[in-house]
Amino acid sequence: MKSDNASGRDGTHTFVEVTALRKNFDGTLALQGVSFGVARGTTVSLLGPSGCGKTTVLRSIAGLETPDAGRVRISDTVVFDSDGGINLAPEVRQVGMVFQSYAVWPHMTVAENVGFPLKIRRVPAAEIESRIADVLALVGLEGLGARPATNLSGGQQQRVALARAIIHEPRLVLFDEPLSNLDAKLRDQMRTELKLLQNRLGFTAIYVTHDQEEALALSDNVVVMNHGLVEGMAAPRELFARPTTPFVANFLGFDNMFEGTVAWIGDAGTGDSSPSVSGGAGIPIGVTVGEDVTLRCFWRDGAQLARGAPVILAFRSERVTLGSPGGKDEPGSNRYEGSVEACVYLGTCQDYLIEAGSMRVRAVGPGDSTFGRGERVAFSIRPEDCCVFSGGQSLGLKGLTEE
Amino acid sequence: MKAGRGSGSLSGALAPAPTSGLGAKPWARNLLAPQILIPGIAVLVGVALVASPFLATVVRSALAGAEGALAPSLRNFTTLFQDERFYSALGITAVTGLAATLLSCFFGLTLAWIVARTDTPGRSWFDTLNLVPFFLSPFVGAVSWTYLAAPHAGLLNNAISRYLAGPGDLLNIFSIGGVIWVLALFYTPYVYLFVIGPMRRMDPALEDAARVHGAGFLLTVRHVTAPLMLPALFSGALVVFVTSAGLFDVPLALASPRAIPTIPTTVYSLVQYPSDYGRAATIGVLVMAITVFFALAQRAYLSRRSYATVTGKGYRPRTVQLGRWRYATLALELFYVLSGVVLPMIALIFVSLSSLWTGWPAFAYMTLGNFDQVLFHHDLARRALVNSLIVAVLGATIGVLLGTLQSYYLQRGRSRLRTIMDSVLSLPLGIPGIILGLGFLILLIRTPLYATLWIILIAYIARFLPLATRGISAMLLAIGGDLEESARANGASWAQTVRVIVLPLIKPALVAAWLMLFVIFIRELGATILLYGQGTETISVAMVILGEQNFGQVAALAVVQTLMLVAAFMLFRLTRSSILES
Ligand SMILES: Nc1ncnc2c1ncn2[C@@H]1O[C@H](COP(=O)(O)OP(=O)(O)O)[C@@H](O)[C@H]1O
Ligand SMILES: [Mg+2]
Repeated sequence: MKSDNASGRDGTHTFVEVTALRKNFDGTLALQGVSFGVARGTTVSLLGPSGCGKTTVLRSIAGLETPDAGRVRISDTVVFDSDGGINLAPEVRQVGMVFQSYAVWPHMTVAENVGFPLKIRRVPAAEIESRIADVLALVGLEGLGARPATNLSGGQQQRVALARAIIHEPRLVLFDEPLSNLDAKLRDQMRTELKLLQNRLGFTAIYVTHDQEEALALSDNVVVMNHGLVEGMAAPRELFARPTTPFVANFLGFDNMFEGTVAWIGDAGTGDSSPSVSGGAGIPIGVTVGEDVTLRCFWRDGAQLARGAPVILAFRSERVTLGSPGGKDEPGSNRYEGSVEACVYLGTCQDYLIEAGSMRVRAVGPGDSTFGRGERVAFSIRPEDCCVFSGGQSLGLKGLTEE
Repeated sequence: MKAGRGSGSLSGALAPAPTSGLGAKPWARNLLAPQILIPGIAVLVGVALVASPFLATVVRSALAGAEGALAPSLRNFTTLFQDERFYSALGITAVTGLAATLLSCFFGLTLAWIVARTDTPGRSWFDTLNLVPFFLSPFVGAVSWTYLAAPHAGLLNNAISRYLAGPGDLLNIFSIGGVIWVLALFYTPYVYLFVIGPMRRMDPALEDAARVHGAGFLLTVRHVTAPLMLPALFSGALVVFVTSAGLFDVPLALASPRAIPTIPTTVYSLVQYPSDYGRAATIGVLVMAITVFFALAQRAYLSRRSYATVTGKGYRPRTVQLGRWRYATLALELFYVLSGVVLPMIALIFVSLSSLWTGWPAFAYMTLGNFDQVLFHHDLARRALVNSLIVAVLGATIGVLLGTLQSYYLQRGRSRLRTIMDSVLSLPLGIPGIILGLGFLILLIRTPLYATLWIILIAYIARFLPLATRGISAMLLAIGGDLEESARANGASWAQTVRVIVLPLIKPALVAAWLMLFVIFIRELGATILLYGQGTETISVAMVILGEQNFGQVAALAVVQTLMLVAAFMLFRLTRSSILES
């Protein structure tokens, strides 16, 4: 297998290539054709709700699960190919893996756990010892080598699992929700440490998580999965700002979502085109939500759009600006008035639920804002903060919002 | 801690000191409270049942001389240690116990792995079938194997000489090998039960981690799977070694006919005329010491290997795809089930239906006469059936009652003696039935209890009560004490709380313990053989007595006994599955 098909979209070498993986567990379609690539030295996150197939993808790459169809290439070795009948055993795929349950062996000491990959590879004992010391220092467990592995806290077991996964300098490190069993504070700390370690060692990694912050913080690229399918793949910033589907938007915290119809296309609305968003940022359109409210936003999808077509409009509550009613409309801003239906004080900020005609908008105001229940309030949302998706996907959205 | 918060401690700590002239001190009043008094009595009964045969045996071993003129002396020990036959019996018992343990570890571990972790066809069936020998009588098993593998007379030997032109005495069940073989078949389910739980609960990621980090299948087994299973396997092996070495049934059926000496059969013959109780008691003391040593060793070993109980929650059981090897594992399963259950039962049924057994089924000799005899005419057999049923039903009921109270003390009591009591009460578990029977014989031979059903009942309960206590304790531990405390806090008395809250919750464990004791009491031979008298024979004793006269009636009696055991087994499976469902 030469690297004729190994260059990725962005021109860099695609180090890991997963192509059209399918897996069926007695009737459950766990994977329905998953494809993505990982560039050398980068981290890709698989992000999605529980049960969407993330673990199955990871286990298929490690060789712990045999997919029904598809292909997996790591570096220049095809480790799995259903057409070519290739299926390498896990032990020869040369990867490291951190398991959700840590999978630290309880009958071994910390050092025996960490040194296992080297011992199995028959590395000389003296070298094993010095490398164990090095890697334990790296993960912050220096001096604990002689401890029985069961005498460790959750966070320490996590570090043992991490040390074991990197000590043999694998070409790929797989993480299956490594932080999900830790409590919130420790999770934040470990996340930062993991990031530092990754910068320092530069390993290629695939990181499975259902936590969007983890995915955004730790990876160069995020693959969002849903029901065994890839919903979208992008760099964290792009994904965060411009989700590609309603599902991705919802999963990444676009908590205002409305079904609407296209009221106008082009400059038909105000007759003025805002200079800040012209030039490749999309065509301005108006979307009517409910009976009376029409929001101005941008259509960035290259596809054709007709007036009256169903669309989905989404924006984040943090991007909604609140103000006193009666002020004047800035041109091009979506400014409306409604009444406060509920407000929740959270210290640094306050959550509001605002009713405006048939629309209910979630908004976040500063902690010292003082709109009371039933009070009139003005809110505005910038057109560039709105995402619009064509309405064919509305069914998927319904399923989501009911959850 | 939980138990310490029991209502008893609350009233003890918070109640003001009595000021009226009642005279009772608070601790005395506490001791008389029903929740302390009743379980306490059950524990004392248990201790007495353990201690009295122990002490009687020890005392008798230290007495020597003619009956009626016994004097303290160590002569029993010195003469025993000079007796060559004692050493050969000891050696043979150790060898058979050890070999049976190794073989049943092999079977138990492999079968558990096949059922729990592979895609072998029919796994769920085998999960039940592997346990069947656990409920059958080892004595009947050994007798059935003589129908299969006695030289020149066994079905298998005859089949070999007929169809394979082999010699007619290729298999000889009347040998040390035969004893080992039947013991291994019957103790395999013990190992199986010990290891299948940990095997099912083990986080498969532990093995996956080894695979991913470079170990192949066999290296993973060596470095991860095997060491993780070792504590459970070792515990099972210890139990199997102690109980199989002390089992009387199998050597009686297979070693005694060829005068091969073993420890249990030696004790038996020392009590027959001309008897030597002193020497029998001396052997008894040594066996008890060895058993206690093993029990302590097991405790010490397990407390060092605490990870034996470190298990995951909610792991998806993953099965190994065996491919063509599925047929090899299937063959091993079939081999075990055929050897342990199917073949012996077929042979037994053939013999029970034959008026004359020639080592080959002959339709000319087919008859129901044996059953007609043992069920309706033969006095000894009919008496034995009635006696066994009485002892089993009564014994299981008393056992469950005492076991419940003891568990309540062990799990909910607040006495500092609880951990010690736990050890003391479970001591009889490893003591061979015949040794405990000897203890009660020495103790009660001069009392009116001797040669009544009561002495048999007492010995049975003493020997097997810990099984009931353990099962019920586990259930009490699992449900915790909070529900009782809230009932007490809402004003229910202790008796009401037990009746309305505790008993309904532990009912599945009570039913299981009752059935377990019933099964054991129906088939027990070792604890009975020294204690029965004219008129108090049990089914197993009747088989021993009849064995010298009539093959067909022994087999018919064995079939009847087996039907009782199978019925109890089926009830047990039913209640167990209803426990799992709820
Ligand atoms: N060994 C298995 N047997 C049966 N179903 C499985 C198995 N492994 C995964 N599944 C199913 O496949 C789907 C995807 O599972 P998984 O990859 O573990 O999801 P995730 O890691 O995203 O939570 C789920 O519906 C799960 O129930
Ligand atoms: Mg998962």
